Amino acid sequence: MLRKMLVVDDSLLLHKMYDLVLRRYATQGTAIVHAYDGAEALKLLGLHADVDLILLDVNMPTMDGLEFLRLRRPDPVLASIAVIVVSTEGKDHDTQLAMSEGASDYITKPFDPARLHHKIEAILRKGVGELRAHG
Amino acid sequence: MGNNPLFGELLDEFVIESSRRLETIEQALLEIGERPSANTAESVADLRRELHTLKGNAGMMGFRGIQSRAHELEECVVDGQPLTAEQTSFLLRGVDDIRASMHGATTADRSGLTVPVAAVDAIVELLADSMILGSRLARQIEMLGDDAEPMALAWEALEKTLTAIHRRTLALRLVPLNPLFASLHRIVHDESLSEGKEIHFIATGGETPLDKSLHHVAAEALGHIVRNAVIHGIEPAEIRLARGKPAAGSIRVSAVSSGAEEICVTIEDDGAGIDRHLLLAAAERKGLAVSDPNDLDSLLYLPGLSTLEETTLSAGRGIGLSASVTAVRRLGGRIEIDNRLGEGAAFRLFLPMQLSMVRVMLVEADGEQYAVPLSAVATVARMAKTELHVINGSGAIGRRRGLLPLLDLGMTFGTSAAIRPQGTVITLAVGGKRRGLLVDRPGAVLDCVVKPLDPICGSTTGILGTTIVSEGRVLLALDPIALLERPLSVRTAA
Repeated sequence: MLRKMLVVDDSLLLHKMYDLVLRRYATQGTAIVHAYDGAEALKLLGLHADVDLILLDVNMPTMDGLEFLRLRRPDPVLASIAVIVVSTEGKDHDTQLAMSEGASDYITKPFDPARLHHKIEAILRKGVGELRAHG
Repeated sequence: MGNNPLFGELLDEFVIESSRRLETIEQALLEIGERPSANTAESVADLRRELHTLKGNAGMMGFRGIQSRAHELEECVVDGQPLTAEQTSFLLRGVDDIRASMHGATTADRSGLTVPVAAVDAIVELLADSMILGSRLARQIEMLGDDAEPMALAWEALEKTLTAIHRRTLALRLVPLNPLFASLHRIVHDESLSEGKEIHFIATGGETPLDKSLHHVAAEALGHIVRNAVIHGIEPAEIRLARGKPAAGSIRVSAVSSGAEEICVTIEDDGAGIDRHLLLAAAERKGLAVSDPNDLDSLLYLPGLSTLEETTLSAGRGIGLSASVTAVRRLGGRIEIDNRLGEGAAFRLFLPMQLSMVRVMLVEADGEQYAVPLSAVATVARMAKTELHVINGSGAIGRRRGLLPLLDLGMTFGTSAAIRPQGTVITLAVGGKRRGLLVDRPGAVLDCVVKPLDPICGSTTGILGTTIVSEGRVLLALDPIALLERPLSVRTAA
């Protein structure tokens, strides 16, 4: 079950959209933590150790999504959190880079809310399976 | 609209956020255009990022047109390379296009106000209603006599709180002038480009607040003034140099709160100043009557006199200077000119910081709605058929103090031929005079701005002006003093 999700995006509009998607599809009781750039996301991850999933925008001021992925990699706890990269049409190169930096999956704007929901579900299922395999 | 019904409710948010992004983009472009030192790889990258986010958000909302226009603009910018003048112009035009598309998509606009104005207005109306209900309650308490003293004190405290909420809610409509200054900057940029003049635009005091509903009027008037300053005020570089001035002209815009209730926006240029003789000659050519050739104000605002019209296309935009000055005056503002021939001109626009609202009660007669200033309403009571006395064609109704003469609103404005046998009596009371206004039914109580009637309509006794209520309906606001003094004629001539 998705308990806590970190949304990293510099657009307030996108944060509100994710709230709506979550309210529509996710089970009750999922919390969203909001960050507006990569640096803030890293800081917030220190405060919210129980984040299950990160939705990460690529194109942000101060610290972009790719830089965030690079900086989180050496930390085993942070690196174990699943990340869905949200990129924009025509930015395939960024998407490839993000995947090579350890992102779990990606989705391209404009996306269908239901599709995002399916991706979230799939990752969480996979995550649980992995935990079982290790445990 | 959007292909995701889920996001439909975010339309206002989309417009507000995108408008801010467009403003950021526009400001950056204007800076880059004016100062080569601002044309850095970093600012170009920022610009590209803003366009990219704008594109993505438009896509999410399902605005394909905005998405593809933003895409074109983004593609025109190359990371790490400074912008050329052509690119800057192309991008500025694109900003205009996207703004226009968004304006068509929604009623929200490029202000700093993140709450829809209609929502604030609705709260103001509800507050007005509760204050009316409160005053009714106060009258009841008063009738109870001395025993009700604690109740009266409690009401007094509540009334103070309501008044404070009312004042603070009105203050929510105050919006900083920054976006307006940005649009002036843009005018100066565009006009100076087409005039081939180099002009520096310096703005201060953009944080000064002004009622949202006054921004449009201020923007019209100030737009004319800066356009005039660029086209007529600032001299061509060679003339400036010959006069011992720097080749580049400057236009300074500043705003201050010039009192608790008023703001003052100054537009100052270091150009040639206004030549009264040129204006007089133009008026003469057009055959316009000049009341006082020495009065610069009356000359400048002469309807039909636009020296711009003869020389450039720009003057055709929007309403003329004379009309926008009239609009400013109607709202209780004024414009002062400080003219120094050869040195420049300063225009000072004074506007009330907030629109003064009049609390009115809507009343209906023969299907027409009117607004009555509430300050003149003493009581509202239904009248039964048996209560009406008709004496020589004039109506009256029995009251404790004697007969209250009635004025049938429909007869007053020619929508009915005889006194209605039943309805509601609105007792108007001003300065000891009382009279009943007979209407079909009373309506809501609300705060609104009453604008004086256009002189073109002639003077209509009994009408204070027009007022715009929700849904943009225009109603006539009644003048209680004129209605109290109106002869109670047997039949209206109309």
